[in-house]
Amino acid sequence: MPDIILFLAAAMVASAFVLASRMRLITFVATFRTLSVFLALYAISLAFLVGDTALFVSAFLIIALKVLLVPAILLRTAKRANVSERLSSYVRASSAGFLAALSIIVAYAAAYVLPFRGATYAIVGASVSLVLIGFLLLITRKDLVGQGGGFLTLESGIFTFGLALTHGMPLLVEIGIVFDVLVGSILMLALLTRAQHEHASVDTDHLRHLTG
Amino acid sequence: MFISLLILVSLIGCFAPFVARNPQTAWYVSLGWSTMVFALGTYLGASVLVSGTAMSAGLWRIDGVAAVLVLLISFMQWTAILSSRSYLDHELRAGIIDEAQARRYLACIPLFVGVMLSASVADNLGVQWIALEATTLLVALYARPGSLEAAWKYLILCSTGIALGLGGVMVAFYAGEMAGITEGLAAMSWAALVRSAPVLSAPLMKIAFVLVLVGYGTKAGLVPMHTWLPDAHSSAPSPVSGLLSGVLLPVALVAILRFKALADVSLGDGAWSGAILIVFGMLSVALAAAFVLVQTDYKRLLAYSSIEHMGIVALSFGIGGIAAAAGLVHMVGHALAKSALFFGAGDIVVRFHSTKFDRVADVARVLPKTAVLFSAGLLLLLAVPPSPLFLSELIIVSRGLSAHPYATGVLLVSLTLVATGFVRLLMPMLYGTLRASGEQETPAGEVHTLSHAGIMLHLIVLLALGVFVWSEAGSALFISIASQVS
Repeated sequence: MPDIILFLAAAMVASAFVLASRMRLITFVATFRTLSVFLALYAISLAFLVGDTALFVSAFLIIALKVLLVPAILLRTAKRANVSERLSSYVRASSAGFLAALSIIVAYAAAYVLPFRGATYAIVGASVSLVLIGFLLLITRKDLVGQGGGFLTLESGIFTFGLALTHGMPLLVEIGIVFDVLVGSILMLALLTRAQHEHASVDTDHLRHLTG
Repeated sequence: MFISLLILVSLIGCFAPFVARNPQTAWYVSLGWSTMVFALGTYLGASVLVSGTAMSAGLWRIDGVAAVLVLLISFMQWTAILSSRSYLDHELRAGIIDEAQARRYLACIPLFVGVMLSASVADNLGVQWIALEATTLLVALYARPGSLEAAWKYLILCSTGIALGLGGVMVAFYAGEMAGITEGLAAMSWAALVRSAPVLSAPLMKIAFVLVLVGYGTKAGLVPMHTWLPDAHSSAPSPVSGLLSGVLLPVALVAILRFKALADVSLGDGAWSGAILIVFGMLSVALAAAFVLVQTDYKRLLAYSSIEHMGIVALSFGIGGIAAAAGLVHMVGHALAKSALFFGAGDIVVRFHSTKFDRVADVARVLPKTAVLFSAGLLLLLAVPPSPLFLSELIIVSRGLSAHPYATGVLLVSLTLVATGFVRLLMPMLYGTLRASGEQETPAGEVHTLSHAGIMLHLIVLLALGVFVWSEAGSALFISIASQVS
């Protein structure tokens, strides 16, 4: 596997690791953007390497959605509604960083055991790391921005996983997946805006009436 | 050809409410359209069941199980539209929703039904995933003001789950490629994978099954991925709750069973995947039973009971053999009974303006027709003969006791608890006269509405099914259908 692919996978893991411990809105979104840029570059390099033009479509949509649209709307919503600069989390930044590091170790250990003979070990490990860090964010973050970012990180991990295994799914399926992610992101943003509107906060502490 | 037509017709139905001048006419147009979907779906489903051979066309394939789902979906979308009439009338009159929202409501149902149909007839695992994911988004559209929490929880949980499911689909695709099915889309065809299942790598299929079980299990409401379900089902409009419980859960569960079939052939037998299904089924049944006992809200009560029934179906497919056929009967019976109850619950909400037990009492006096139908549906849901659920539970328990005595013990205790909880909570609501002093009397009496007709149709079909499964032809049919996915 060419070095560029490995480098980009490593860069994704590194930015996910940094993302896990970002507690300020601006840096969280910026780090998420960086992660998405690496993901898009990864898809583009792979497209050149295996000559799969369908991957250009995916890369284009990643740039449009995860690099430009979602972060921009997040920041705009936040600015307009005067959201607090700090994101809230159940664990401190340093503990989150430690947990993220632990997730990466677990991910690579798992990738070593998993029976994906035809795929590159390092890239499967990277994708599982992204999935686990995504879960970590979903669990530890208290606000909608953090949880949404966690979901999108997890989703990037699954996408990388698919690329590592199959070098791209059939075009029809790929388009369907991207379309669903698109609508999902838009819905999440809509909810975010509404949460801001209703509670003047995106903190999920306001969202705990429905239990039992 | 006919299959694509069915899905297309259903999807185009989303434009139907917009051609009419006012919401009342829009409802008539929607009803007409949904009758067409009903007729087409019934024709397709019945012709597959009668001929006994699968019908396949490109990305779609209707085998026995898919035919049952198609019949179920086409029937229930029709009754859901029927019972939407009183819901819409009431909400419009009370000013809770405006005309545009009423139209959007009517437009979303055909879309939802269209993607549900494509999820159940998809032969291609990728297409099936896309359809299941699309339902996530459509359900989120029903979020109403105030149900932000439910919408967020639902979106995050189901999106995460479905993303893991995608991982499972990818692993299955990879296994197919490894086994030599290399032509793009064909490597994701379920029928092609089943044919080459004996040479699929067993460890890969194990991973795929687990990922899909967790992923689609979120949609099917299996514990511990169920937490969104009571919120979404109780905050959605009642006809939609009926569709969610009756259609979405079985479709997601069947998608899991399709992967189980693949994993079983590749592993040699169903013991491994069966054990996993039994654990998840047992957890779902037990936890739902505990929550049924303490509910304060009747729509949440019904939602928890859906989790319990999905658990029973998972358990029965885990036991396998003839219990799987019983599981299939149970799935159909539960869908019909539960959606009838949700439609009835809708009528009660409209009159009492509350879904809480402490605000609703004496339904039998206030809404005599609804109360009778609701009680009948309740008895059928609690598996009182001649309910088909009686036969299915009887078989599951009798098969389970010898094969998995502990799991069956848990099932029996839970069934008892659920029955107790239902009777304890719903009987006072239906027949009790306890009222807080000083509270205004709710005006009594009701006219026969279309939603009563819908519930009645459900009960009639349910009874007919109950009789049919006792017959030799009926049991043979369900056994042969169940053998396709187990």
